Amino acid sequence: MNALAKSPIAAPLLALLLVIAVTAFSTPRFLDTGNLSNLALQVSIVAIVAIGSTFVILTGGIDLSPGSAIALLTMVFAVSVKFAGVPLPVAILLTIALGGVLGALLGLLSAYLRIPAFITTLAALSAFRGVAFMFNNGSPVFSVHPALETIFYGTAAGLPLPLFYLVALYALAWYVLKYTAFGRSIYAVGGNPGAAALSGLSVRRIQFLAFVIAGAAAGVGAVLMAARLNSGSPNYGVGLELSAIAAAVIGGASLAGGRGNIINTLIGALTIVIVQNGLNLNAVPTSVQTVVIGAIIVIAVGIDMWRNELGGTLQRLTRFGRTS
Amino acid sequence: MTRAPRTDTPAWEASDLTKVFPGVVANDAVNLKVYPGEIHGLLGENGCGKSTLIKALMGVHQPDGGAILRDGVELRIADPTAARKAGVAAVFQEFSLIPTLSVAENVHLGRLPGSTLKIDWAGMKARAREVLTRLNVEIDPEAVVGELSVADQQLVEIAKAIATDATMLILDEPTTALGLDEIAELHRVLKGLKAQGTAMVYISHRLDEVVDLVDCVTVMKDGRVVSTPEATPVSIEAIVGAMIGEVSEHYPKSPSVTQEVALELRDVTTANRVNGASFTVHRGEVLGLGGVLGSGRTEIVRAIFGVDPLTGGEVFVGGEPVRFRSPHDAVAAGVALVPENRKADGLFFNFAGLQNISVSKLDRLGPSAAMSLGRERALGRDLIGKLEITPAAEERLVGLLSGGNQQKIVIARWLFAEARVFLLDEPTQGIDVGAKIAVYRLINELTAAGHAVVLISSDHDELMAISDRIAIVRQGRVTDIRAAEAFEKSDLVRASAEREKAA
Repeated sequence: MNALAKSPIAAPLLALLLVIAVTAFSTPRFLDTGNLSNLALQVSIVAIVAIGSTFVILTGGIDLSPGSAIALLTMVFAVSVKFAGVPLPVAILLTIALGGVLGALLGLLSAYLRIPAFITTLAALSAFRGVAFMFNNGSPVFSVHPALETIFYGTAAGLPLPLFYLVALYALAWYVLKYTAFGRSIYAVGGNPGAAALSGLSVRRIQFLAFVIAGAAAGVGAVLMAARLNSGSPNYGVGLELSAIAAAVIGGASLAGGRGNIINTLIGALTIVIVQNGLNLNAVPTSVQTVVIGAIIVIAVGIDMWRNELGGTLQRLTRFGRTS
Repeated sequence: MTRAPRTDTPAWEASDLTKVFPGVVANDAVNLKVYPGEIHGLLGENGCGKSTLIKALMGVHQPDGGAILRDGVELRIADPTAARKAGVAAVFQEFSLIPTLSVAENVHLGRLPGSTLKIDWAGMKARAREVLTRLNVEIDPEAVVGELSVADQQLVEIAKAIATDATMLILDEPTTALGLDEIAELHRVLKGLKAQGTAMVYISHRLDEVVDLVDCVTVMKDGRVVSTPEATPVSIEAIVGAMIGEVSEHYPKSPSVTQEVALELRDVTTANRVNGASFTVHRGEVLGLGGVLGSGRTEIVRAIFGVDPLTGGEVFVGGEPVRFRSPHDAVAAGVALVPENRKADGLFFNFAGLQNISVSKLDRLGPSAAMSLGRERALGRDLIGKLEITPAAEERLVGLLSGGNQQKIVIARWLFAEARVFLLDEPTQGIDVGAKIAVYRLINELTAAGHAVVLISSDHDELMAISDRIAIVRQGRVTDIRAAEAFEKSDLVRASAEREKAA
């Protein structure tokens, strides 16, 4: 119990349990099987995109682009399947790969050309959506493929398929961060890029690859988004980058880099989606919902800042102590 | 020379000060008397309780017993603000200056003259000039602090401290980042303040400069005063003796030089201050690099390590010509750099000791897609034991470890990476005597294992005692290279002085 209390998972998990308890108590319908599987569908896209955001944040970067990247990618996906006749499995792989290419572009600008990630991905937030509007005269593409919805609404063993994607991708991300040299290097680069370079790590390559992963995660998100409504639209994914970053930060990832873990990001994503779901079930107007989500982001980032501050104070005190 | 017993009233006094933290008596009836116009050295290894003592004087801690007296009158210092009002000022190793503001603004930070709506710029500048004049230093009050040298920033820090009319100035490791001539300048300024009657408490790990400066010494150990000013002669031997009790081992050195060349530089030149540097280092040898701050010593090791690209010349490692495009290549070739600033450039504060040790050679933990964390633990634990790093380092974040343990972890990293050429840039800076000796022993073990060591140190005694040969670096090239025994301390001091003549 003591070990659990000390573990970095404790605080976000407690927050999540609190949110679940409050929602379940105030809204009995919350625990209906139908609602729970609906919840799994809702959380899947945000949570998968948040994997990418977490990788970038861990290296000390930030990615504001995935919402717009998803709009662009759903359009490319929908157009290529419906109008160009690309087979569905091929189109899916191509969309994920193209996501990786978009990430590579941002990685090139941020890691190798050293333009701050905040700027490059803010530019991409604007530009990617602009490109999305260039397809199909800016109109959404509906009824992309008859089999497409199965990807999102299908079930296996009575559980929604997106739950399986989610678990598989989180397991993979967890493994990469914990058991691969690349994952360890991500933490090292985020913790102290200068020391990482002097320790022989290829800092820029690692930052670059984090963006590629974020782009590919957005690609997976785009396929699910397209499957959900059997369509592609330049208006998809608005604000998704904020939910994804918020998921990471609520989960305790530090925007300064080097601190955070992927399971906590999943907890963060669940927290956001459950709050949204609870508000929906209580017929809270969308306008109020967006304010609540905004407040949650501020509180989460505030907690990140305070935690840094506390950590900084602690470090100063210990530095002070060491000189004696 | 000890301090003669005095009967007059000290400016500041800690009387039987006691402070208890859960599980440890940090200060056990500590007595400290600081007289006007006296520089009082407060010494002891990390964890001896001197920080706790000065924190009590600064109002950071409230003592559990005993009293603080100013001019013989008992005083309660509730918090740091109260301490400043009472006349206590402190200068720390970490600067509290704002780099983008001017010297004058920094000196008056927090109490800018003038009204709420209009700052009295002229008055502020004049007053800053007055303080700087009092220190007898030539720094322009309008200069931007970030553009000053580290040494000048340190002086501004002192100006800021004394601008409050302090009667006691506490200096905690003020020389860590300074070169020798800059230390001399700092000493001159402090002696000037002393003549004006300021009482000073001086903390430093560099005993050579401490004995040059202070009037008397109090040595602490395990929360107690183990040697009073009246009992401690101001000499390195006496102080080290009181601190650790093994004077003869102050600089343990066991030579292991071979004839096999491990590292050779031929006319190495970079765009960053290295200007035709040539030397060889043999396996088992420690080559010391002497010279002033800014002579290009640090830049030479940066060039060897692939940080600054070579614009001319050649580097050979183990007889093979190498051209490192980045530290990545250098690490792969078995070259290691322990950087001067271990906090900024060496340590990962988001990692525990274990991950800090393994980071340079994760290959050793198995395939890069399936690292064995068990192997990491086993190998890391082995090094932690061998280097006598605290066992807590395995799990604890490095920020929570002592400076000595941190430095050993950075060295352990390169042992883990199986490096053969070690470039050590000021490896004992800011760590206590016990940890320094551990680092010297470690250097002995490196050379005994046939590794080559390039040692940069601004501590002349250390450089002479630990090096087998010493190369004097001036303006980015080696101007003199001889066996360490062939150098007198005065040669090194002169090497430092000559730059000023040239400049």
